[in-house]
Amino acid sequence: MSDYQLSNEDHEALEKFTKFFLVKAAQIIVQSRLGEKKITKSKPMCSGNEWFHLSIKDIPEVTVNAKKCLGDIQHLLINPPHSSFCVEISLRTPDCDTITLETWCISFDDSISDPAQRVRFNIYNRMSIVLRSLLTCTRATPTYQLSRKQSADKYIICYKMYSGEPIVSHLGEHYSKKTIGSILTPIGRFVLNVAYRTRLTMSLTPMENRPISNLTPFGIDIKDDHFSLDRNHHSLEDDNDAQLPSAHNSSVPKSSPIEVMKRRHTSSESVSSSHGTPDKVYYSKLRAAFAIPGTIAHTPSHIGSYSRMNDNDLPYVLMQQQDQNSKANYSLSAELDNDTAPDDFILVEVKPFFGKSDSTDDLALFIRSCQQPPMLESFVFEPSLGETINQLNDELRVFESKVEEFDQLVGTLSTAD
Amino acid sequence: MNARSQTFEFAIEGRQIAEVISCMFHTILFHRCVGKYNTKGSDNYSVGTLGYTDIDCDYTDFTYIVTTSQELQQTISDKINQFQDKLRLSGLNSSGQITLEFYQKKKSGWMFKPEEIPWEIWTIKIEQMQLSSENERQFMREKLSDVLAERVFQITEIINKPDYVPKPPHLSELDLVFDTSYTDIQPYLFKINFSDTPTIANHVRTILKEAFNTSL
Repeated sequence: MSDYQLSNEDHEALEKFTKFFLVKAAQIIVQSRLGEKKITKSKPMCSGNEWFHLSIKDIPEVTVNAKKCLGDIQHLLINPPHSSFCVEISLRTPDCDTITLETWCISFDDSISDPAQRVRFNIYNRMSIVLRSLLTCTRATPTYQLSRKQSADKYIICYKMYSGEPIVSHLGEHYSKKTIGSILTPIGRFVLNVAYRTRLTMSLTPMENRPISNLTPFGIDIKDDHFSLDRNHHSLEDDNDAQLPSAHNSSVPKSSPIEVMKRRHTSSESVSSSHGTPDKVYYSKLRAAFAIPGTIAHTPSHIGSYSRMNDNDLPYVLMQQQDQNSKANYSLSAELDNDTAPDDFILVEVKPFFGKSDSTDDLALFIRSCQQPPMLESFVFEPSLGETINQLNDELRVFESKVEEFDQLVGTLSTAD
Repeated sequence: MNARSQTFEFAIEGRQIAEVISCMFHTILFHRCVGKYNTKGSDNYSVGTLGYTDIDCDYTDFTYIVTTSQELQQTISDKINQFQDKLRLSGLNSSGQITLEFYQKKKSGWMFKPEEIPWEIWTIKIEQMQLSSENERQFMREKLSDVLAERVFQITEIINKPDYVPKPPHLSELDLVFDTSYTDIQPYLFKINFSDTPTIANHVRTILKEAFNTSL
């Protein structure tokens, strides 16, 4: 712990800078997950309202939540017990299934300090640099691209703020952690980190209750009981987001989703437009599945059936399943009725080269016969099952009677050069 | 004082060159800009505010931040486009490098031009690739977004190290450290240079030129 004592004036200034630093950091993180591009103006003349010489417009709800989370001065980062300030970003599907995507954390370590740092100049400017790093890095995590493609009928991005140790356990096994920047002060060091999920497969049941899953070639985990009719619908109570990290934290209750702008996704809906890893392919399919009209029946009752079919939220499987109520085009090809085929064709007059335009001309007839090959006999004369079996039995008897001839043939083939 | 330098290498298609370099340079410049200084008398001044703009890449799935300044974006864009055109005209599998150099001026007598002393150099080496199939192109597009993300994190890590950055000088000497020609922002003095892969002839020419200069 640093023994250096700041003057009252410097301490007050540092507290004020810290408070606005945390609020601005929360604004940057939340605004970057709104799903839209940001543009703010550079102003040659300072209006006096912009902190850290950065043009960051404040969303009132975010400021209120951040200040509520920070609470009174005891909860401010620089004072003991130096509770970290965390912003958690999660994804929520229409079924209210949630997956935590990343946790941003600003912590204070009083064991590393630099008494030479001046509060009103060095630290203020360093805070400005770290906020700029935060601006650039919020665009560099996978969540940014996800947030740009959110919509109310697919998924939305939510945020939650709390003070205390960052929760990274629900980011999956192979989460990635990056340090955005650090600020040395005479009494300690601020550090801004982000931990983000790298495997984007959704887990709807708690880890201990999850059955053994199979990995498909598409990198999607499918539960063994996925096709079972008596699946348990996922309960919201299993959602860890609703739980407070610890009793000592002045957490903000789960925030309402970030205001979503309905935007039409203009880029290709194909899988190839997403990032390359299978996990990102999954998210592309997630997006595509929610958007496929063929699998969604046009009745309000489908909303219930949709959520039931999506207990595991596995869009690839959803795309393969036949919706009994819809008139989708995913029915098996064997069910197609061949008798209706000619009616679907448009009559095109054949005009052969060097021939008469009359369709009764030999050349025209020849061309038409080539364009429309004759139906196979097996489709015209369909034998019954019994006839087919009898025919096969006859053929087998013939082959068995000529076994020696076949052996001789094989012998000549094997000895030939 | 030796300038610290950092080099990034990319092997990309010709059409991706401009936006890859733009992403790198603007990420760096966003950290190496301050608000416009407005002097109010000999010792008083106020500092303007920096805005930012999200830019989507066209040939990869990535978005990066640029400082909101039409003049700065134009300056950077012109240089990058010159480099891209030169590289693409050099051939399908050509390579080259472009540098963003931050420097400060040091007065060296009233007769001479101020000396330019670099304090930070960012080099981007580009190797142009020619892809033969759409699958390869798509794979490269997706891989490039991951690479750019990694580079952005690297840039912020380097910039946040407690390394040398020129201190704001007295107001009368601002243009020794900052480029004060921009109306809305004030970046540290910088220049952009580029070259394609040096040939033997160019190398010999450079050696002769240096020998000629030192002999005078």
